[in-house]
Amino acid sequence: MQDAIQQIHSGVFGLLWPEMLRLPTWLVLTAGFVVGGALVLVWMALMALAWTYGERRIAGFIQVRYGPNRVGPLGLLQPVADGIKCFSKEDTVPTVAYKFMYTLAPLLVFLGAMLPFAALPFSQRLVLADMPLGLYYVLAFEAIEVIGILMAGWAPGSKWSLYGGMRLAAQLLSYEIPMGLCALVIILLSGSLNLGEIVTWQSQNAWGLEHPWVLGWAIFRSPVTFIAFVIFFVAGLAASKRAPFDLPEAESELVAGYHTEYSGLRFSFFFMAEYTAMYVVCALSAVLFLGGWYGPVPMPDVAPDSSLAARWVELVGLQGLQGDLSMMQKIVCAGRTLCEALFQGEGLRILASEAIGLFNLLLKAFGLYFVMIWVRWTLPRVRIDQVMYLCLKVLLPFSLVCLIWALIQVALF
Amino acid sequence: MSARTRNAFAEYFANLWAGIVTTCVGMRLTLRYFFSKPITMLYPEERPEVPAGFRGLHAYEESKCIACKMCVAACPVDCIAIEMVGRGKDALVTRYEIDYSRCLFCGLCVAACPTQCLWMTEVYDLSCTSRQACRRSFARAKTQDEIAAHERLMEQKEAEKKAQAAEAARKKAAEAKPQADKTE
Repeated sequence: MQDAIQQIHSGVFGLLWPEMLRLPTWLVLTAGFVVGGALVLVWMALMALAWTYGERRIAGFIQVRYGPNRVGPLGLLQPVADGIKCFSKEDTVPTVAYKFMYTLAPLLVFLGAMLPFAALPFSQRLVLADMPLGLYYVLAFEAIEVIGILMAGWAPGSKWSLYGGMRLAAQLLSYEIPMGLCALVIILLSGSLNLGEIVTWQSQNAWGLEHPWVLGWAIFRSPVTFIAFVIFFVAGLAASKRAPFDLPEAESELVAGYHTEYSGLRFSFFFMAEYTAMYVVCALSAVLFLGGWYGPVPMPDVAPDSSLAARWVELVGLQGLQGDLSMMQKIVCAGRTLCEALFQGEGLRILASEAIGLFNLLLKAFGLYFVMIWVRWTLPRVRIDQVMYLCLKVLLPFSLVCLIWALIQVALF
Repeated sequence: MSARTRNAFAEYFANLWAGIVTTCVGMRLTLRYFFSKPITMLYPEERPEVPAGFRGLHAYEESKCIACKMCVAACPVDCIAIEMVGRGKDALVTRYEIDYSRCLFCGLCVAACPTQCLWMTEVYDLSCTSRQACRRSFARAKTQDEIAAHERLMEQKEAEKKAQAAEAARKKAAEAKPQADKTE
């Protein structure tokens, strides 16, 4: 319990709770979960909205046509129209379905897509919970989705769903291995499982430079990490069920795969989960291999231990909030001091650095997102045996070689 | 290491290399398409240029029409309907309809027209929402009075013609009688 509070403190929620207000622990925790969950939900919805439009537009341009351009200016309201259509669909449950599992499956899938955000950083300080085992946590909770999708495949009693679910299980379980091994390469070289520390490692001491800028990114550090990045990204493509590995939902073979029997809001859960999982894979690749929030736009120097929360607490203390004040006065004072902490001196610099960090990270993550879409509209779907061949006979041996090389590198130098 | 295993090993790497190279080729191709201009025509705003000799919607000049029904006879699908009062240059066309749900735009009606009162334009967007709307009317709408007046006019002309004919016949008969008398 205490650990959980500590982690919430060290993350973005340090901001939300000056100790002066003396709120009870359960309230802080609940507020943290609710606000954090709401933020993640908003981000997921934004990702799904923006990238359904983006994907259709990019697909259009790749096929030398326009894509959706009729709803709103440049077709920008198309995802809204799609959403309205999706919500107004009838919610059907097949009569032969296992009702409980059928209902639970989309929620589990959604949860699996949502949970990694707890530890996935958006910038240096913009983390919901800065866990020491962040990387492990993200990789572990991404795998919850598999259970949900297996349930979605089994519960409706449809052959298409079942085939999709089984294919997905086979595919995801095998691609987790090279993905994990490539992450292990980074863990070995950086010596940490904390995503923040992995980025800090990438920001200093490479090629004989103290501030190597882009050269410090993991992919430029050695050929091994470059290969590991490629393997990680390909495995991530397979893990997020994207073409050319979209066998679980192959339209031309399985109708829609594991979500064939779902409609309306339940279907949109799967849909949002898919787009979010893609973002998670892209952001994780960016953090592990592309320097996360470090570079290409340089961030202003901020003292590493300065935090907005500490400054806020200090200000609140200076202004003597300890006395007998009403709740209203306390809140007003907290708000005023928060503004001071944010917009004066060091606070402003921290804000700027966070904004630049966010821009850097999103630039890389969205770049990778574009590559995913680009790949989808270029390569044809592979057969199930080719999927397995690629994973077990190509990616796995190469990632093992990378791992051994990294081991030697760490042991000798 | 036998030759066979060495070949298998080399083949594995050759396959891998081919896979990477072909992927790159494909990716480069689609990226080039990504940056090329879409070839889609934004139809209602932009319109294609119609080629010369295009056969679209009909155009009809009522004043030239003699209601000879040559177009009706030429039409392979019987989609033209004509009603009129009178004949020839005096004809008043009360109905000239083409049913575009049946018309196949062959142009035979145009070729058959002796007075060039029917030709085809370049208008091609002829969608309609009901069967009735597919029947396009070309003749000017006539009032009941107009039709009645034209009918009276026609009757009058007919009567005049008859009278003239009778007059002529009588004259002919009158001329013929004396000759007949001579011969007798």
